Amino acid sequence: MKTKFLNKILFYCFAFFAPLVTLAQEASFTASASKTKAEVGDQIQISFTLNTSGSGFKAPNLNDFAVVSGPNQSTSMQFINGSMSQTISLSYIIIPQKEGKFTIGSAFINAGGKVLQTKPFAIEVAKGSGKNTQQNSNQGAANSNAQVADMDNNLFLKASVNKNKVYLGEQVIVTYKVYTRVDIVENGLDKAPVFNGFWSEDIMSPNQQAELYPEIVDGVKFQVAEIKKTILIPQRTGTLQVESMDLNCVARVRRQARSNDIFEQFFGGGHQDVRVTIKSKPIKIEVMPLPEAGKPIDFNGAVGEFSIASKINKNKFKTNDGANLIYTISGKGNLKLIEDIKPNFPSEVESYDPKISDKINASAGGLSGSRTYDYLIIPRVAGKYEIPEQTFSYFDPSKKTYVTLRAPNFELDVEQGSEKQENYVVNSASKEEIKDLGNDIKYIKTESKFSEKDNYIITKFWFYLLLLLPIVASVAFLQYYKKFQKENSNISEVKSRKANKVALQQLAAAQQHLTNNQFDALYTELYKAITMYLANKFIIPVSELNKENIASKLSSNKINENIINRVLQLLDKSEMARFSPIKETMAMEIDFKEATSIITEIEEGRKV
Amino acid sequence: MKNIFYTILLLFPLNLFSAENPETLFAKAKTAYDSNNFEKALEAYQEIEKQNVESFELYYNIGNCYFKLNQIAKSIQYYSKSLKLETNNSDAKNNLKFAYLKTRDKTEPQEELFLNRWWKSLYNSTTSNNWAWFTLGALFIFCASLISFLIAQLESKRKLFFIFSLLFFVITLVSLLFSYNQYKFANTQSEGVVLSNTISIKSAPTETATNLFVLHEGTIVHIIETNQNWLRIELDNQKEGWVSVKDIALI
Repeated sequence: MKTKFLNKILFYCFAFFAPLVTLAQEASFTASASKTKAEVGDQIQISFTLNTSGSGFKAPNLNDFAVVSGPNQSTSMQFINGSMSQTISLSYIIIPQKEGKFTIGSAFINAGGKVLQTKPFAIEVAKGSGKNTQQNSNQGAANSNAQVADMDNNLFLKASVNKNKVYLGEQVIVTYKVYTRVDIVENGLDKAPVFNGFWSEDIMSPNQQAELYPEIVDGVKFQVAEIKKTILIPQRTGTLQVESMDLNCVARVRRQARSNDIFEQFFGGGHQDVRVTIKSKPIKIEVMPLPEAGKPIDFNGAVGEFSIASKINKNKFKTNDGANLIYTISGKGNLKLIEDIKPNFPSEVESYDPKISDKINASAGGLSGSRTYDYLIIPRVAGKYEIPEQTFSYFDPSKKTYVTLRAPNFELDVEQGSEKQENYVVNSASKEEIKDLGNDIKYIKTESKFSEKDNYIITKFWFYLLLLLPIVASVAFLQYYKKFQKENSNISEVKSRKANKVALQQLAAAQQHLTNNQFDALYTELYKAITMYLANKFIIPVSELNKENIASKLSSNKINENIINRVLQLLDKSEMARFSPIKETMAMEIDFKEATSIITEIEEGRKV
Repeated sequence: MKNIFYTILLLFPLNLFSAENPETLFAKAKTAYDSNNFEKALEAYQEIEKQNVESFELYYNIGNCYFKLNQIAKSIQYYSKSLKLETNNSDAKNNLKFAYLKTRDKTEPQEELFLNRWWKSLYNSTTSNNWAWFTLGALFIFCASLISFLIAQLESKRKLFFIFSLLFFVITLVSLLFSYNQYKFANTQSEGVVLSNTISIKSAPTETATNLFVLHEGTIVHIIETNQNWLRIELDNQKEGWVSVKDIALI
């Protein structure tokens, strides 16, 4: 009984102290590696395991290795036959960087008031084969650990396009999707895809939060996220490749249960973060050239489906008054890549480069929207003009034909504005000048007649002498002429002075005829005496001796009218007497006296 | 007449000493110009200039050479000089315009008043010497018709000769005036072109005077006064000031 009692006490004591006993049990802290012989680039998992609880873990120096992951802590508890055992494990995944023998030093931990340390161990690293390394670095985390071995099947990136065969300029949408069966803690773009030969516009950038949706692939349910969607417009023909996209993910993987222990299954093992790089496969897109058949002349590269609209803000103008002519092209397609439309403006209308404004959206359906060309036009000359209809052609890839659209023509009615046209003239002049710049100066002259420098006749003395010459000459001539005239007039004075004498002689002869009573002879002599006297006196040529000349000459010499009449009467009488058959001898003496008195009176008058 | 003889006598030995006559030099310069050797062409033209002869073509060609050698101020000077001999030559005007395009200051000479321009082009339509000979001819006709008027007996003939002599009297006077004007025009250097790259125009004819404004190579200035080695200049925009004579090439 006594022993029974003692046993009982002992049992209780044991039961009571059992945990203490357990604690008192030798605490072990050990280090282990997944392999101690590895190649450069291999992943190695090293674990430090403590069979009791502890704190203040101090890792060994791992500078010779690249630490890919860790420290990853996992804790497990076991109850065996009522006794509980606890294990703490800290693990690292490391990759050797160079070949050689490396020692993993001691790790330290505080357990039960004591500092425990692991034994150092060596890892031998051989030179790695490149292929292996590459693969390992990409997928190493999965390979090195059985739990993440089929990561490839659980997490992948897939690129897809909506069309594989397109026309030049036709839009293609490429979508990148991440398929996953594991939790992704974080992801980041490692290598953005390169779109060689494409013009690209992102609809969705990889930075945006992607929505997850379920999708079933080969009977397995995946969570799918679209992480990038891009519109591509091929810029050249042939087979173009959409390069791969690399994505870095950190996946949280459940650690697989090590035993069939219910307890562990119940609580689930720890989980582990694994860094994985996932890659999409490159995609080939075949780009066909646009058909040459039926290609309109004004085709400017537009591919898609478009419409055109035009409007002008006024039709009636004054000169130098601006207006806006607007063309709008809207629709779906490569709007951003089309060449500008070029309306044919009349030359009298000044036009400027258009203001281009885009309202283009990039959506899952592709590029769509409108592009507006706003032309400012200024008519410079009054008149009626027409802006011809504007055509716009595009290729419709779905119908595989070209389509030509027409915007109607506009009539402009321009009136002369109030301002003058000076502006325009100045403008055109400056334009011409600009044109001139392209020309060159005129060529040199090839022939020349040289003249002596500073040889000015006007400064020479002889020139003035020469000028004086005609003046002097004409003065001299006039002088000479005057003298000549004077001499001439002297001769006639002598003559007229002689006239009296001659007349007296003639009259004396006439007196003889009178005494002899010779009728005819007397009158002949009288006639002669008068005419000769007058001819000498007033210098009348004998050929011009007739009554009219005598009368005019006498009157011009200011002889009394009375005397002139008497002269004319006497001359008439003499002529009559000479030719008349009747001889009036009675009048003979009277007429003789009349002749003498006329001559005397003229002589006297002259003297007066 | 004696003067002509003397000048010919004076020129004769000069021509003997100079290696070539102007015509051969002119042809030589053309060959050089055609092979883009503008320096050599310019040398030949300058050789002609030294022989105390001138012609519109000579100055024009020199202007072209300077233009090709990118000495714009000099080319402007020579084009302007050539235009003094042939006021209305369109080639020279055209090239001068090109030269102006290369200058920095935008002071292209203003167009003169129509009346001034007309008057100028009238007396510049021929040389001063031609006008002088013309004067002489007109004077002869005037004298002859005056004499005819004086000795004519018939009234109708006298009237005709009177009008004739009056007309030629006026012509004589006008052509003499033109001859003088043309001579004056050709010999007055009322304009200049800025030679230096950049010059400061001073407020007074001293080096220490205040700088009024800056002109660049190729700008045309009007000379309104001379004071020893200083020129008082005016621009088309009425700005004026003094500048050292060495910075200006006279036209």
